[in-house]
Amino acid sequence: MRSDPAPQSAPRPVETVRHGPIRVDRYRLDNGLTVLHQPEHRAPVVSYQTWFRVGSRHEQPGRTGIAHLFEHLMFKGTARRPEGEFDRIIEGLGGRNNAATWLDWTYYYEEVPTAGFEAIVELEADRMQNTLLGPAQIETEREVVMNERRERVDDDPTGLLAEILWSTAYTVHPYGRPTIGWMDDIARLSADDIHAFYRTWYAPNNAVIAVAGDVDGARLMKAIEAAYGAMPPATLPELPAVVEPLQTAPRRVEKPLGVGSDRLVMGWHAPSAVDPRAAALEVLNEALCEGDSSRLQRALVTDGELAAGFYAFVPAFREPGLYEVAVDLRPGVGSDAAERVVLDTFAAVAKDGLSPSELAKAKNRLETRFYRQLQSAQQRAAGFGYWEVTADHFARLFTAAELLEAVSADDVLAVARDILRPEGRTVVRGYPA
Amino acid sequence: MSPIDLVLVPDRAFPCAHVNLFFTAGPPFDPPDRQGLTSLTNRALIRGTRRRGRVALEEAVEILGAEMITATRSHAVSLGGPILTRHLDAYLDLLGEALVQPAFAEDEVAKVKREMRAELEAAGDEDGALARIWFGRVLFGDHPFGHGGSGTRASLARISSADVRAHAERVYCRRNLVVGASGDLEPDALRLSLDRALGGMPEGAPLIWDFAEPARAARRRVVLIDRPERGQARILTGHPCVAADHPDALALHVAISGFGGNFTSRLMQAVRVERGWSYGASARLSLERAGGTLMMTAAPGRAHAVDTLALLFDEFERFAAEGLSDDETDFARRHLAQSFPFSVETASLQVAHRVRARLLGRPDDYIDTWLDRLKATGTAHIRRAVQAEMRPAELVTVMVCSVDAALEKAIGALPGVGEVEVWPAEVP
Repeated sequence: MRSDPAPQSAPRPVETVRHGPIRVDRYRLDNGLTVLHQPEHRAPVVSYQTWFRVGSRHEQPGRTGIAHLFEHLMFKGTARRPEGEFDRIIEGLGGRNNAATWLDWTYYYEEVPTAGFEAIVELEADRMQNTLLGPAQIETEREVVMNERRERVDDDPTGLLAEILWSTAYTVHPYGRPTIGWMDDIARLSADDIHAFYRTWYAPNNAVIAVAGDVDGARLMKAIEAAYGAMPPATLPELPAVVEPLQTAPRRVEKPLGVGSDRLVMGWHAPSAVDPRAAALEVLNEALCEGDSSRLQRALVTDGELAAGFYAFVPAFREPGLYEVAVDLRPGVGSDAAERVVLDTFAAVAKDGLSPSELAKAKNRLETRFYRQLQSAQQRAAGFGYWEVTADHFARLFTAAELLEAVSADDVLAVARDILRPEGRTVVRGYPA
Repeated sequence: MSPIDLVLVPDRAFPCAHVNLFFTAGPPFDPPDRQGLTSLTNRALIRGTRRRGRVALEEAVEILGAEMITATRSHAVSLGGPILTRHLDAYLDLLGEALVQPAFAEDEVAKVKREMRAELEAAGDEDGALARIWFGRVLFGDHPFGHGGSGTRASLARISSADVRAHAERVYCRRNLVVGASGDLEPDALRLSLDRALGGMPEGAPLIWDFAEPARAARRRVVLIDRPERGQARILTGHPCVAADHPDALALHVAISGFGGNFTSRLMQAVRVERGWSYGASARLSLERAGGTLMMTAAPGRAHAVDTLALLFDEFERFAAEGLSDDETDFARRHLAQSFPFSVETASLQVAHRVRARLLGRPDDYIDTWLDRLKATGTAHIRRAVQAEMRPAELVTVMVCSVDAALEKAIGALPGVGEVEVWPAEVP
């Protein structure tokens, strides 16, 4: 990776970073809007993403789900464009669009053929400031979100157990509140709440625009300055820092479910995405949980024959998240057997670390994955936007690969001992009702 | 030795590649009492070779940073995955070893059978998966197109190692193979490496698709799968449709795109945008080598389950009778034409399209001529195709939800519904 001083001629990026064949330019408007641009002319398409530094972490108790509900309402029309026109224009251009909300961020994306690029800039700028929130739109979309919650959480064993896990593992930190919101909160969010949320958080100085694809910098910045340049910045609230107390004893929840066999979800408080230990946890997880030759795949599934399947999740959030291991047990197998296997596996690695072969294998697999996530314009723009809002610099996408390569056996041993402590775990067992 | 059928699109941006070996095969070829055989055989390929056991094979593959991924689709099976270019030859040799010298050891085949049964039972706990598992079976009944890739609990138990060996000999042969490769690759070097790695593969013969037309439903049929205490219903409804090589396939693709393929499509507007009844509502046309499926989906809250199904029926009936309006047709065709660059944005996508065309028996220039053929597909042709091939009176519905007498009665009263069956929430 190489960082160059800004060139003198317009357009004027304030920073340029290169990594292999990829060049990313950073621009900044006077109103605080950050623009990240990766020109790539191999295919006549552009990915345009708007990342806001607001997610469910910024919500207040009793108003959970507002960031996500508002994401839905951003598609409902503006003072200039009636409901439906936004999607109709994008689809008419041959484009596609969607959005997502999580703990730290909300992002909106469009992928369009190059010819339609300027229209997208104008549409996104319009709804950043001029979204209309009428009562009919709010009520219809509230119902849609309630159905989404039923589909992804209430009627979904995996989603429900994960929600219970996070809300149990966190006692004070807002990461314990579900992004989709508690059903009661979704039902009671008012139009005033929603307007206030919009005015507080949707501003150019709280946004990052990440663009990858077939558009050059001059054309990009001409369109962006015209569409966003006159927007005023907002005064963004400063949220008090919340530190989750160290968990010193296991927590356990038992939940009856409409399932045929046990489900087990376990969580450990893990480093934030910018913590130096994050890379070591990624390598450790790769060796223990990913691939046919991983320790837990063999112990739980292939040889142990306790589970139908399992997954592990390494959090990459702005603040410390939860490292998750979730196991779907086979019929007749109790979740205590799987819990014991997971704990024994973690204890073994905390005692002896990984073998040189396991370490090399994990790094090679992560290198392959790194290249695979850079294939499409949409993947690259998402990587830049995500790391910019999560770690304050898009180039973390590239340094993450270098950090992974630099992880040593001792780093892995340390993270296994610090993070995977049995007393720090939260366990949720779902069992057939 | 016949030349290997290779589809390659080089892309040297990064020092990695993706190589997949595809073989014409699929669940329709499974004997009725051995459903799951295709998938089981493909999975058992990577459970050890005559040179090394499963554990050693897994280690040999993954130390390269690679994965050996097996997949079973309706018309093909595949083996392959991503690989760092510096390890390409070693990876290809391991792929060849798995294909040419599979061990199919008794204990490993038995393990895979138990895994597949466990996965099938776990899928039964997820409403969406349960609905999908049953939809194909209800739609096609005893016809081979109704075979699920995962088999049934009973059929998996019947499959022996001898069945697996015999099936492998039939499928994994040179004349039944298409290799798809993208990434940092040199064509000549790749051919040499493939010839070396697959040198021991028998010539064999391609599998021939020769299946009778599935029977048509006499009237609307609804199967309710009773999952107590659910707040939501998962609805899948549809009917068998044309194959990929049907002359109306592209016209129907345009029509279904406008009817239910996008956010602005009729179904999404009627179900989600206007009423808020479901997070999503869509229609999809799966075009296969022999036969296809038209399917609509929605997931409404339990309170709107009957209304949503009635709305899907109504909208589909209107669509089948009238087709899309001229404006809707123009919009759908324009959207598909304009979005074409996304279909071929990356080397791996280009390979995927060309391999799929090969496996579906389409001409080699299918993707190259697609835009021209789309533009030449007229509005009248599209409307005629809809009216000929969309059959609202023959819709077959699977709905997973909490069933009570009132719901059963209300669904039975919907127009054209001949029978309503209530089944327990179990996998086959």
